[in-house]
Amino acid sequence: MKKTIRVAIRRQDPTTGEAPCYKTYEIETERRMTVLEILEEIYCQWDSTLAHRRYRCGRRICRSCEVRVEGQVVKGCATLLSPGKSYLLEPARPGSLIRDLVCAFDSPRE
Amino acid sequence: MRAAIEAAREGCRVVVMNKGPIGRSGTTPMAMESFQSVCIPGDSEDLHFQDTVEGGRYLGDENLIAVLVREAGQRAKDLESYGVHFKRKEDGTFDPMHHPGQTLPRTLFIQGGGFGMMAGLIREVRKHPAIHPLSDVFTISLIQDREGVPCGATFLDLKDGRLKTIQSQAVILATGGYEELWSFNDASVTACGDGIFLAWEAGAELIDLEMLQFYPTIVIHPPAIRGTLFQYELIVDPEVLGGRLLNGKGDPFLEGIPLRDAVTKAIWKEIQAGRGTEHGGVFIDLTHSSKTRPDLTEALEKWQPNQFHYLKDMGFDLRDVRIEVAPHGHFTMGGIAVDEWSRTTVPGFFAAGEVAGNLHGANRISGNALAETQVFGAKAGSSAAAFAKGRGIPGTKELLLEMKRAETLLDRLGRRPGRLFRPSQVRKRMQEIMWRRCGVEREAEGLRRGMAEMAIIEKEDLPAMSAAGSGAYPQELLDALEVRMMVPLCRLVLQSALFREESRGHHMRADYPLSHSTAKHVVLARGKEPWAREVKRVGRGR
Repeated sequence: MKKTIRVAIRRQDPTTGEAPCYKTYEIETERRMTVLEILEEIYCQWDSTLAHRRYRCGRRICRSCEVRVEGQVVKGCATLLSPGKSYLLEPARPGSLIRDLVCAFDSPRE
Repeated sequence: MRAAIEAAREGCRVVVMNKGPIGRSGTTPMAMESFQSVCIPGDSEDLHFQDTVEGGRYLGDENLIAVLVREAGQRAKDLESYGVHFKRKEDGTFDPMHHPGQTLPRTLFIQGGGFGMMAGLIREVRKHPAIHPLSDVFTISLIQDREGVPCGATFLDLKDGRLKTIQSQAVILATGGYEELWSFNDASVTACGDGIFLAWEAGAELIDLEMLQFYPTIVIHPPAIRGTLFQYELIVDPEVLGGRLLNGKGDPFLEGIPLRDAVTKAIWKEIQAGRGTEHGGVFIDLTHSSKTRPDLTEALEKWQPNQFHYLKDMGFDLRDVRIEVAPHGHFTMGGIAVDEWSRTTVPGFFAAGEVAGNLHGANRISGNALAETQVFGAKAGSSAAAFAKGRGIPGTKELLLEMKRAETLLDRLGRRPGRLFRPSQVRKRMQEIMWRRCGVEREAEGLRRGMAEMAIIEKEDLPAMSAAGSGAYPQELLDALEVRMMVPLCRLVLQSALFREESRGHHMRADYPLSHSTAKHVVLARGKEPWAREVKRVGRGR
């Protein structure tokens, strides 16, 4: 039997004034997958309304894909999630939330 | 960013528009550590010039190369003054690497790579109150007045999902390349050629679009680390890592440290001959390095610390395991035609960096990309400032008209019931066609088929494509806006690749394996058939 990685993602668009909700997705897989791979699969295959940062610098330095997994801020490109387990995914910096898992960074001056 | 600094210095107000977070998206933060500039006794600008001309297989415009080699040193000093660190020896002199294609060691090693360089540029930008950076904004169209001169742009502000407009007297395009047109690339997902499409729409000439540089050694398996670049130049250099490239049978097949186009061809030959690995690549192998384990570890820590630790933490210690790699699209050498002042062929529009098209020719040598961004960024900033100063505030009539057009476009792309195609599906189909028909090896029949297939996507898929697109950060709408630009750009690339009936550098034609005796550009402009243009020569060199 194939195993699944189950993720519950905090969803919110602050421009609507609506309260956040958690939506659960199950990815069938036999191998460990990075958070970024999982989010890409959800966006491309299952739910095109999900917003996440898709950029990957390839060297784990840019922090673009940072998210909170089980309360811990991690880099999505370098964090592996295991089949058979459930995870809670939330935005890395809720104070600068743009939508879902997308947060603003401190810009030079905005 | 370098262009913004220069224009601000000359008294202009500058708005920097970036479709992701500035410094954490786009092309530059992904760049390796290399910045090519003459720095040791015995080396010279003439040698740098000659290496770039020869490395580019004589297709780079020499007036541009002359500017690059003349000003790279000063631009490196600028970067140091912005707080960017280059690797130096204990005596304080530069500690350059010797990369393929360089007569003498000339690659300055930037601490932190392109990301580190961007950090310095951002620090400098903070000192200029006249520069207004805007993160997470997507430029939809450039606006021109009746004479074709720029008067602004429309853009989607991803932070609140609203359509906005901006007035400007000059426009600098610095949006990077278009590697994302192909399935297999190691570039940023943002490298969709936005700036090239916008320049095309504005009437600018595009040049040598078929010239996609492949990087030979990008990880293809396992999937979690797919797309990671590890520099073959360091792997196979006995002085650095002392490793090897092996085919699927475990046999070495590469001699010396050739340039990227030659290594790509050698790997491609192994794969095509059935000597590839299980997943269709070759191995990078440091498990039999000529170095002792402590020396190898020290070298990895010195030259590729980020990749080494990243792969190690993901479960792949390069000292113990071989990793499967294959050529991927890495850098687009074609783009917008520019002159030595970074001017495009349309007054008021300037272009700098990978978005420009006639500097590197048919093969870019290592270290010239970041040098290009700084040399021609400064040129573009200064040229745009001079242009803008001579103009009044543009009228608003064209802005309002263009705003209406952009509104219609967004409405059309927005979610409709019964939509047929999602942008991610169209993008995937488009990328597969490009890889199959216009990948490492090309031929006329395949390119013609690719053009016919792309025409179907343009006529049937694009009008039937729609996106979930309301509220803040409408990711699928952004995806749709990108695909809308990428598909016509694919057609132009295929057209250029068909027109160039020779093999040169990274453009490998199975039906035309030889190079013409004289290199010529392939030029495209709206409403015209492609044509060939002489490469500019300046008669400089050793």
